[in-house]
Amino acid sequence: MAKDEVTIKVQRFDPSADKVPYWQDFRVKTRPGMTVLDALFEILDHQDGTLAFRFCCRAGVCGSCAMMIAGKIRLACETQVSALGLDEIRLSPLPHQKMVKDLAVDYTHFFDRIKKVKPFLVGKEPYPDREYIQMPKERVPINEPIDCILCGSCTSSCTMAWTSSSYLGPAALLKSWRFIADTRDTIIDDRLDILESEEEGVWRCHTQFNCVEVCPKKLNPTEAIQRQKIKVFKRRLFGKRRRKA
Amino acid sequence: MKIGNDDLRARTFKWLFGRNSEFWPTNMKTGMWAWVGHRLTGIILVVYVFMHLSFLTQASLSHEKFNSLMQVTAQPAFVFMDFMLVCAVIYHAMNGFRVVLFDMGVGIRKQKLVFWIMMAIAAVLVAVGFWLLFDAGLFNGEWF
Amino acid sequence: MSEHRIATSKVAGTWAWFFQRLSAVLLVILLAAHIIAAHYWHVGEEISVDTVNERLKNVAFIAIDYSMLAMVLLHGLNGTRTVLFDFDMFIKRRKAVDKGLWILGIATMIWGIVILWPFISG
Repeated sequence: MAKDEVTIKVQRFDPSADKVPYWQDFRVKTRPGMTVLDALFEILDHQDGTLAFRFCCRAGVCGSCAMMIAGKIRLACETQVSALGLDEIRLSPLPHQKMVKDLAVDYTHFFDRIKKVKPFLVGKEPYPDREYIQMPKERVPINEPIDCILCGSCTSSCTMAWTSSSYLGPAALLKSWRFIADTRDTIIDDRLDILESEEEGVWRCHTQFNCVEVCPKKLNPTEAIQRQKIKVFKRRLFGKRRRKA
Repeated sequence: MKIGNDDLRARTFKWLFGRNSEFWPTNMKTGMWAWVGHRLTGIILVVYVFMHLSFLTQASLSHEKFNSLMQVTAQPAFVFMDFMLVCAVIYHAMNGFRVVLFDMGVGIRKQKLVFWIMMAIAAVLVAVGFWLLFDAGLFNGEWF
Repeated sequence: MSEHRIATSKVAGTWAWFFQRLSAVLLVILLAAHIIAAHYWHVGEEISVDTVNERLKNVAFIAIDYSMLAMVLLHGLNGTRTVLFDFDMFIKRRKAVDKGLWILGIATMIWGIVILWPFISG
């Protein structure tokens, strides 16, 4: 039943040589449990040493190998060739990102967006000797957004983040929600100021749910954005209300 | 910060909208389809408002013009366009209701279910609209 | 971080978002009223300039039509603004787009008021 061979169609692009990307076919012998990333290594080792792609941990933790696999953004290391059930698997880089070479894209813009939302905890002063105490109950809201691996899938799938370079995009807004929902954080007003900006902030989200569809960690950036919309609007209506110290 | 121009040139239509793109119809998921429909019907309805106003402007010019335009509205093709308009309005309204629910924090995790519930309501409303349109009025030459 | 940030509008986006929802709800009610008033209030009546003039003597009819137009313009042009602002080239010229849409909206409102005037006065 299992197919012995599969065609991997890779979108090749070398900015120094090519004007436009082109498709190249590779035949790869499959073995049980083979992931798309394994297939790419097979090509790199035995067929074409010039193929470029990003990888690191091979276990779905680092978020380096996110790419367009058979019409959906997935992690190459977590997608098994047999699970796709296709004779021909198309691979292309993350959409709407600057291509570096073949399947590798430039993450600079993506991380610039993350940096804009102040992705760090600003705790209450004076700083405690050991750590900020948090009850297990208070930890619940951030259990999910803390799992983000910054693979860039959601921001790449978001058409608003594509057509407008100023929009922060789902990954950055999920990161922002992670700190707004954190009871230890003290600069919620600064964070909401960033979110309320019309060019960058939450109002640019039109609930396409593309980010939810593609997230390899099954997180829900749309829900995070919607909750932040409510927070921003309530602050506009009722004025600033600082979190009780 | 900005996407480079050389890269933009490298993005061919085929690459952006081809088989492996998120815009290929089978690759688009429920939420994306809902948004595409919402945006398309929204643009159509804005254009319609201006068409409607210019129609009324012509109708207000003279009695003859008014009467001839009223005959146009009674033509089956025109009434069919009216029906398409009703469908667009109902889709836009029901999906808009879904978006408002999400803005209130309701049903975000069940967005696909919410979409299909809204579409079921929309189907009923379209049926009612069909009945009202073809049974209760416009063929008699009602004022539009 | 702060040097990354560009001059942005803090207030407009929030209210634009809120009034889009508010006008949507009002629009559903007004649309129902508009359709009932225009098509089902006088079913079976002959449609001519005279009967339309007769209808437009009714203040409720005029109020529904004009408030409908105002809401449609608010919702439609606010939506257009959202569509335009999804693109870099327009959101960079936010003030010009806002000004243009306000002028278009007010001009269209005046146009709409003028259209019904011959019927109302006639």
